Amino acid sequence: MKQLYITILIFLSLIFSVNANNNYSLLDSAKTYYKNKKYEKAITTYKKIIKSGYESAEVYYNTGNCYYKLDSIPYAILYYEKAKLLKPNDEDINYNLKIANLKTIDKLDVLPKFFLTKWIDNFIDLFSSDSWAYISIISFIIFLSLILLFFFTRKMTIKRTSFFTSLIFIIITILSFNFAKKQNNKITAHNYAIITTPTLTAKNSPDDSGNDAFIIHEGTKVKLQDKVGEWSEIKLSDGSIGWVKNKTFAVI
Amino acid sequence: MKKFLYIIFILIISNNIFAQDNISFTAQANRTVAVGQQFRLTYNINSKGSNFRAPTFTNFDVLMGPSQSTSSSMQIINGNVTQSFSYSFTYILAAKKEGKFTIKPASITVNGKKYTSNPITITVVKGNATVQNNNYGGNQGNTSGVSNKNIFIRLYLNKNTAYEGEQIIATVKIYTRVGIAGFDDINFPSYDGFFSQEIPTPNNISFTRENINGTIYNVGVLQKMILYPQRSGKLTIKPFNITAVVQKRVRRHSTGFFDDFFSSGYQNIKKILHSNTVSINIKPLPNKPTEFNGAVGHFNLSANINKTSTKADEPIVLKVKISGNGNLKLIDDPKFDFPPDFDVYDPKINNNIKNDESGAHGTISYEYLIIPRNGGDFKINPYKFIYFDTNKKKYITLSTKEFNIHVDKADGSSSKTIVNNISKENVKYLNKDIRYIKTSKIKLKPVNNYFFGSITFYLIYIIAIIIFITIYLLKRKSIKQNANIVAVKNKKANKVAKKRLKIANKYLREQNKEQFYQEITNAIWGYLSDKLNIQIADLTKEKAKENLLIKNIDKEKINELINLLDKCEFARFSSATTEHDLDQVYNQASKLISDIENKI
Repeated sequence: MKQLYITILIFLSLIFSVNANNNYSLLDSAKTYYKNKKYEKAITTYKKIIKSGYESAEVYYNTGNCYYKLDSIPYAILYYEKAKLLKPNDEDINYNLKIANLKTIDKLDVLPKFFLTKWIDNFIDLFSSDSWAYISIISFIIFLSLILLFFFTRKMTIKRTSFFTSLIFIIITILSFNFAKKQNNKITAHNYAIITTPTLTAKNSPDDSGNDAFIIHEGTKVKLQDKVGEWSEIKLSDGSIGWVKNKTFAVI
Repeated sequence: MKKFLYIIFILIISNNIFAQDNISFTAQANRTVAVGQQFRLTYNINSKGSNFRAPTFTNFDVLMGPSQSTSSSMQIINGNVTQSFSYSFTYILAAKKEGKFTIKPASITVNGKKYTSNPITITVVKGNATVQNNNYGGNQGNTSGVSNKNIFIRLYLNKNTAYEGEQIIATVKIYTRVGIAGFDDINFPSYDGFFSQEIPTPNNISFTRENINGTIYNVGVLQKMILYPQRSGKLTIKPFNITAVVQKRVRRHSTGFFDDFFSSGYQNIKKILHSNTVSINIKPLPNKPTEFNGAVGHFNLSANINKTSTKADEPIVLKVKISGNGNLKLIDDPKFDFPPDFDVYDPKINNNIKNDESGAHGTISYEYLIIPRNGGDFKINPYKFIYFDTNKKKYITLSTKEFNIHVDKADGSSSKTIVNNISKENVKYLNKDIRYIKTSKIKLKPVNNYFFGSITFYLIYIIAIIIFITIYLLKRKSIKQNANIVAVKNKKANKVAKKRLKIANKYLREQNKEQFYQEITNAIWGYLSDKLNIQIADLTKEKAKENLLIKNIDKEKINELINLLDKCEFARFSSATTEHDLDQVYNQASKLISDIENKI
């Protein structure tokens, strides 16, 4: 019985490793396609990798680049945003995203945020979800060690310092846990989308005969708020809210 | 003789003249005039006079005068010569106000004799000040000369009741049995409450004959209008005036030979014609639909578009045609629901409307130029045209087709328009290419496989806590064990000390001085070490002192203890000691130990 498990495990890992190997060769071929300006082929190759159940910020970034080269700005933005979720503080991703965003038609005013929330948001974006998770764990271990030190030292000075530093580390643990959670939510919630329809009229209600709320164009990033049948409620960065059909956008 | 004859001749003539003693001086004028109307006041005298004095015309304006005229005539009938003179002074006056006024007599002197004319009473009635009754060339010009039965005007409407906006044909007709030379002053009705449009009529009025109540009239159409009532209720077209110049056959009293030859026998007379008052009942339109734009009549609607698929920035022309019979001119422009992203220009409107007897009919076409600015699939919703059908007496909705337009993205050129939107801070990024793809160090990891929230993630926390707790417990246990050892030592300390003292006591009896002091010292150090939980090797006098102080031992006792230790150490290596000393030391040591034991 045990042997059976082991063989299954070995078999599975073999499949995965084969798959992974296969993917790395795909990466290489996609690289060559991109180099030779065969962007469409590069895209299908990258998509193959993603379809096989693997992802990375770089793959998304490269796919975004291919779309940009094909002048398909909304999809370029879509993939840059996907990459950004995995690596929020990557310079290349942010740079290319900015360039792609310049090519969109809508230049929306962003609702002013309180400066503190803006700082916090920027600070959270310094690391990805997993990095924050690691920070949380490491600081938690440090916290525990300091607590042990506090309990068992005889020197008063060490006792005192270890107590206060442990307090700092428990705070770091809690904060970074929350940041990790927040970053993870961003990735898993899928509540942002990029408009892919060239011109889109948002309605005031989930109904074709509803009044027009506003017009947006491809490439605009919107927040998904609600869903009714084939309609979704979107919120723009300037705060406007309207309903559009699901097929008009691609979820990040 | 010849001279005599001359004198006689002159005498005869002069006699003839002077024989005319019956001098008449009369005033003549129209007895009834209207306010503002010009009229003539003439003073006639049949002899040459001088010093003519006119009365003051208090209630009249003197427009002209006095103008003098002289006429003389000579008649020879059967050799009988009669000569007549006529002098006239003529004023043209206008009455200032209504009432009955008497113009006082004028006076004139003829041959030194003063004559006065008759006073004249003039009745001034209210009248149309603008209408001036000039009697050309005839002193008998009298408007009552042509009766209203012979000439009159009428306004006809082709309907008695109509809906708001429904077209009504108004016809102004003139009925006459006399000749008309022309029209002087035409005030067509103002048609208050209507929007009116004229139906063109020929300039020359063609008369037709019509029998009215057994009388045959020549009937001419003066004006034809299409009226569109603008409000509901009873609308009244006020009477209006037309001044016609009527030719009237006159019978002259003069029998002059040349008269008939030169004059046609007609006289032009101005006749003011007053029309009838016409009112019409206008029914309000039944509850209007919201999209109703005022069209009343019967209409057709068509619309077409020149292409359904285009590129961004390339114009599309949408043509809408409304044709039919009704108030076409009053229809609002169609309002299309163009996609808001389109640039729409004001429509080019082409009118082809004819006004005739059947009303206004024709077509209006609207040409909309629309320019899509961005790619996409767009829909132009149908335009609903609602009109009120006067025959069916209900609203009828016409609708254009729905147009679906596919717009391709513009090629390149449109990016220029986008550039304008970019803020200054972003300009530096313009025309920059994106960065190259990432090629190295790509780590693929399964999708949706995140460290955060994974079992490992939480396991690490749990393991850390478990490790922490084990370390804590182990350490505490060892501390506890240590603490037990101390307690035992503490308890045993007295016993051990006593044992040592017993040994010391043995040496005391044997008088083994060196061994005795050795044992006492060991006993004290051992006791302190156990009590204070300090290794003997680490124990110094200072340390012992400190720790004892912490344990609240009297300073005296401590000093005594230290002195005793000093003493023992000193005595071990010196011979100058007595038995008595040994006893004393032993007692002191055991006493101190028991004292400290009690305290701790």
